[in-house]
Amino acid sequence: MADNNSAEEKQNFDVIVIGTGVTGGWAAKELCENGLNTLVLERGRMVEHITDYPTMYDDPWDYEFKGELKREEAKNQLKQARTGYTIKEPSKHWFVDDLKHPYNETKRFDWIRGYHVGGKSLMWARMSFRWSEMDFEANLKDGHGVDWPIRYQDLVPWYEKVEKFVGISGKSEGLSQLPDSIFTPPMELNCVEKDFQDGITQNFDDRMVIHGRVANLTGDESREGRSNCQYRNRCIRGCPFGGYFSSNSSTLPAAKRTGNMTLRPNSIVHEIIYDEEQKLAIGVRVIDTITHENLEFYAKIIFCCAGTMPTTGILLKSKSKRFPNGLGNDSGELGHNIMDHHFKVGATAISENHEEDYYKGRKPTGFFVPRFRNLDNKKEMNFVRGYGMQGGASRTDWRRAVGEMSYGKELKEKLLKPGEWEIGINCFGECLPYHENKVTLNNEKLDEWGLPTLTFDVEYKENEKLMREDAEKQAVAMLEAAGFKNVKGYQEPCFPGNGIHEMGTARMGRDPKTSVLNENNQIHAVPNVYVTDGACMASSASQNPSLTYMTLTARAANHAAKQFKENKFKNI
Amino acid sequence: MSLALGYTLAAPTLFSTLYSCTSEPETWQPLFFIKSQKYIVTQLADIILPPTEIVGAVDLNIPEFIDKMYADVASEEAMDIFKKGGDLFEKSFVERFNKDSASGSKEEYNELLDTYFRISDESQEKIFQLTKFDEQEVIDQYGLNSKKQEAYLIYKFLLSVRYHSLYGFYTSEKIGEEVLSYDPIPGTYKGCIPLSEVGNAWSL
Repeated sequence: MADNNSAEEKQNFDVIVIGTGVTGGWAAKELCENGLNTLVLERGRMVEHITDYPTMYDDPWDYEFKGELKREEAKNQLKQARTGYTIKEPSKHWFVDDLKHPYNETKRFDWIRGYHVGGKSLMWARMSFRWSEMDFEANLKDGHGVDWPIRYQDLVPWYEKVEKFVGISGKSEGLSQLPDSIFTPPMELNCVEKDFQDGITQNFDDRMVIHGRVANLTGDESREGRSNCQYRNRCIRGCPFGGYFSSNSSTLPAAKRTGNMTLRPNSIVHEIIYDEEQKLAIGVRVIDTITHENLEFYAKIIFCCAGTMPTTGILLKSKSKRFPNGLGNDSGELGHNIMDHHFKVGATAISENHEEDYYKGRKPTGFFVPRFRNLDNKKEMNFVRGYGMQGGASRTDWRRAVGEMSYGKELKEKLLKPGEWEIGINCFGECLPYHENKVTLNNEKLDEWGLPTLTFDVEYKENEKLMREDAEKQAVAMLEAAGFKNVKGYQEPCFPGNGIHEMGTARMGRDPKTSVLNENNQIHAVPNVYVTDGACMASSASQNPSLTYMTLTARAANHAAKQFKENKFKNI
Repeated sequence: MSLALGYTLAAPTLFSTLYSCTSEPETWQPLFFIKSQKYIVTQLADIILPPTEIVGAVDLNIPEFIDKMYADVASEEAMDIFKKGGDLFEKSFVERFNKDSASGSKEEYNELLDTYFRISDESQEKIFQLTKFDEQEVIDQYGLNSKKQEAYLIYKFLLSVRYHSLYGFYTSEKIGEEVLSYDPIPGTYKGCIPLSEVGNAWSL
């Protein structure tokens, strides 16, 4: 392909990082801090911390329609709106325009994403849990998927490094299935959450209610450019206080401080260039979305951190004589084994206590019930693996009266007071890796840049369905045992993608015949290409994955830096 | 703690007779409401959230908010149902009082609204079940122009006016910042404090 780079633009780097979300940010930070000359490419626009958070102080009354979108405008983001919470005035600009960025669904797949510097690290739910030994052993023990080439102990020092920098609020519990992180002080449970905790402690031996573990700063330690969470619970808009971890508030500024980072937004990477002689990748092909130029950038190492599906799309499109089915796809597993967490199942109830109690501040987390099913991979249930429960309690607002026909003075005054206490549980379950759950390139339907679009063919299966049945029953049983009233179980349709934890399409493994990446996140046959976003995951566990993505990235980046310093990748 | 006093300090400014609504014709031009609907919706919003020591829905231009929400936000199906339901409600008014809807008094609208909303809990539950369906499903089950379809449309209209009145009112700047407890940057979190330290519900 013609190289149209302008003469003055430097084209050779030590390493190229594709993407700026939680993993791209970590790769950039670690590689830059190791002294590597790093080019960071982001397909979307620049987002400067604080300066580019236009809605961070808005109240509902600042919007003509209270934050709802105009009918015509909403039509641009119908798929991004499938979560029910993403496409509102305060946050809609962080999510793609579905008309400009189409994808195809053989089966319904909710592909929720943002194209901008910071990626989903700006909008993430910030729940941060370590994985456990049980999680890394699961595939080997029950035979689903392929064995992880690493174990929990391999990640411990890297979890610690990441946690110290990120800042995770939580409380140590000493649980083997949910190892403790290095925590900043927990956000206290409110009165009703505490009742639930006590009720579960008194009535169950096998489960407990703990504080949410969340990447919002608390306590006395300071972190450069950031301050503690102010309990506004408006994280999704970007935080003017740097109260939560994002690439924009944390890793990218750290990378920038080294002087080794070149950050280039508006740069769509669509192909990794493979050199047949060196048997290594030598660079990337890029479309500049402002100038519409085709560019090439070269480096000794490539880090794929574009997000599970974009990374997979780039690898699938990177075809060569050696790799006719996509870069590193000797196994045929590239694009397969898509997993997400299924949720939208649990129970709700009300508390008749604490009528005269309330809270101050809007806590950006709640409680968590660590997994209690099939611990240590024992098969106790009619399904394998397990689920965790997330939830919280709060007093209802004026909306409690929507399903009534009351009106007049009495209603008006009643609704100025807080309503009854509600408590809700939402279960997040592990999804098994099924080969047939896949994403493929559609070369017939191209996007506005003439690039192939993605087609999803993914579904939850029997194991997930059986797990959901149990999750609902247990959520009901727990709220009842804790003495709550009006307990109602629920199980709503939940489509893959909606958890926004899509992962697994370029899995790590021990055997190049059945996996794409090795134990250091390198493509088996192309060791200077690292994949450290969700694509690398060999199983999904039931915990929110971002902390583990960041940890794997930090580990892989330091591995790459070491290889680089030892001159292992002798290209260019 | 200073926030706990917020309402107490703000409240006296609200005890104002200036806000007693006497249905002065407003000057705004509807974007969505047809014919007499502006007047009807204004009457209903005023009955649902009347002015007291605290301003009422009409003082905060809630009828205009409802009009805008239908003009720009509501789905096309919802717009259609609102129009049809509004027409049927108006017809019901004319039949009951034998006069033009635009000359109806607040008392007359209140009396008519009572016939729909002051019904047994059991009847209310049946209505809420009915309104969960699409209009076409109601037609398929009960027939075109059936009593059920008519009830469905009128209730959809009335419940929407009620919902949007509450929505617009309790998320308005006036109520959100001056009447409810407003705390845009709490700074700290306390999980269990006496309600008396806060007063009214938090607005955010």
